[in-house]
Amino acid sequence: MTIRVSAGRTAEPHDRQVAKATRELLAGELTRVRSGALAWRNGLGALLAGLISFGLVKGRSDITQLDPLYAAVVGCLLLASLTAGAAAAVLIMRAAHGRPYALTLRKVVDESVADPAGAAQQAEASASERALRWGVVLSFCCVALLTSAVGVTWYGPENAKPLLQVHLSNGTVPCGEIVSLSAGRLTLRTSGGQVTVDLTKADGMTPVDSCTSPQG
Amino acid sequence: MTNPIPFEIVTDGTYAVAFAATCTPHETRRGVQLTGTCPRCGDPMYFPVPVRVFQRPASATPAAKTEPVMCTCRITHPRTPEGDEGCGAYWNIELSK
Repeated sequence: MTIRVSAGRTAEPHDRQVAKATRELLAGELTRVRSGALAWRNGLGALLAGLISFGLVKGRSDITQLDPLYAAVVGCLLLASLTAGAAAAVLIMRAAHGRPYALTLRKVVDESVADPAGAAQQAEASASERALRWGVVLSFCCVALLTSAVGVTWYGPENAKPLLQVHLSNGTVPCGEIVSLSAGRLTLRTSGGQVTVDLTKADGMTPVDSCTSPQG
Repeated sequence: MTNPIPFEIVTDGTYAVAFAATCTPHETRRGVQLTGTCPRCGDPMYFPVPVRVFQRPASATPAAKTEPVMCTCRITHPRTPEGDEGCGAYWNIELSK
């Protein structure tokens, strides 16, 4: 869309003061963005450090104990959190300290403007401000994803325990999760409650993924 | 090469029309960059009109449509006060799409 410039109302001395204030604000913008980025970096660093205190409130910390589907979800959340955190760190550092590489002169100095130095500084201020804004957004995304990963790890369903099917000489086939084994007596947690089996009367045992056959 | 005219904070009804005639607006992510010629001193100048500035005080926000513009040429004019720039000319423009 084309922008048109036309004459405005008659100017007054106050208008020059406003124009001058705008110029001064733009001239000092890069310094403000840099110092603002440093403050955000410190604040967000403290926020992430505070998350470590979550470790004091213990929950499940081993995702191998989780249901495989939920373990995969936790893995994806942690990967996304790591990616967002790394990108946020790079962006905020870029806003605070500038690009970590040199630009070609033609990209920095715009020969088409009357004040290339001022234009270059404003372009850098604009790019730094954008980097800071996205860095802050991504930092909060990182925190949210990390918290979600911890939450799913703590409250996600447990991994299914190994099941055992026992074939008894009387024809019954109790099947369930092993509770205990002592003095030749095996206790299983079946869908119908706990069942104790005398192993001297067992013809065989089979580890199974699920108890589909009739249980004792 | 002619000597630059002395610095003087001044406006004239013709400045805005003359500047609008030489001005090339260029839209950026954060506003409009105006490149043109100062109607008083005749030197090339560049004036960015931002739509937002990082941590900009609300009191300095310009009026919605009328944008005050001042000469920002890089020529050193005699009697320019410390910390000032351009030749001192100023005027108002309107930007529209």
